[in-house]
Amino acid sequence: MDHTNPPVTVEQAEETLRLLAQVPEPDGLQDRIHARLAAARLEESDTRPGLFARLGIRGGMGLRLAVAAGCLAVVALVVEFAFPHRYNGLPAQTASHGPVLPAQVPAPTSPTLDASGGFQTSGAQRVPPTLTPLHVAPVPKKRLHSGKSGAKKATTTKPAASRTQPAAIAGPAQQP
Amino acid sequence: MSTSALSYAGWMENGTTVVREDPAASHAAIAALVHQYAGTMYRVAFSVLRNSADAEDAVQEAYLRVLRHSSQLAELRDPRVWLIRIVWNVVLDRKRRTKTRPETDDLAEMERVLPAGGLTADEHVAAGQHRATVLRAVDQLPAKEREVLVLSAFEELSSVEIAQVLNTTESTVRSRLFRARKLMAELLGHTRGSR
Repeated sequence: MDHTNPPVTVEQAEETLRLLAQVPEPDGLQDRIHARLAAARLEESDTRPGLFARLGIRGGMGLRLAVAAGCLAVVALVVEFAFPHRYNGLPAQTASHGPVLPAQVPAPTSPTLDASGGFQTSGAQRVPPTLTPLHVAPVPKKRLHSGKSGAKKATTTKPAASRTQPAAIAGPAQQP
Repeated sequence: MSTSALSYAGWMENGTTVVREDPAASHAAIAALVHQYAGTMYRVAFSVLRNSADAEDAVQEAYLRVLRHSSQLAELRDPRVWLIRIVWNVVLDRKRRTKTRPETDDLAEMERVLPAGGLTADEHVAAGQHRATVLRAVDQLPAKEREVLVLSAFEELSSVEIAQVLNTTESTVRSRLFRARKLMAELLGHTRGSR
């Protein structure tokens, strides 16, 4: 406890703050600032310049973002026109023609260039047979039931052929 | 506007494109800013940090920020307020990051920096205790009131400029200053009563 201190008023406190605000700057402050700025500039020049600086584009971050967005838009347009809607309409054709489609789009043999500069088979699309109905010729059941002898012949001849074949194969092995 | 500020404004009017394109002109502009406002910025930094080395470091960092944003120099209307605002933000960042030093270090630094003014030894000790009491009360103020009170001590800053530095309105600055003075009176009265 210090009883010798006189009371401090707000005005005196503000006077103290004013005294703090009038502190003289240290000697050589400006020189040291200049030296640090020079070092920072040197460091900046040593570092590799960025893409925008090399392209000669100077400006703030907004300008750089605008340039980058423009480049992206140009790339998107080029891609859009280079490959024009190749999947549009193709599913409709496969749905209407069904199994005929594989005949229309031949399987790729070798990548050759056409007149437009693109691959010939670039539009080929594989259509799984499960997606399109396969038209199979109806089996003439009535004929099978009506002609019994023919049916029997058909059933008997096939196993006979299958029996003879293994025998022919096994024949030479049993000979010795 | 001072003569130096006028010459700075003239440089900006004449060299808007030069500053943007020519690095040499940009260097010259920053050198002019250092010459004119380094002292003011140092005092602003010292009033918050209360340490000579920290204040100088903050000023250098502020000028490095200026260097990084040198493309904006041509668009400045009042470079003084702009610079004070930069150093103010730097100082507040540092104050937030660094641990609080002991109060005795601050007082010793102030005794070293402030002019003695022909005081006797007893008066010198009394002045030191007086400053310690004031700074303790200032530190107990809420942040917004404390900031306004510290900046109001700079006679070179008007209330409009303080508002610009703190990014608020002039009426807000005035009301905060009023509250700060009231709180200071309470704190100092409480300090006096506790003795």
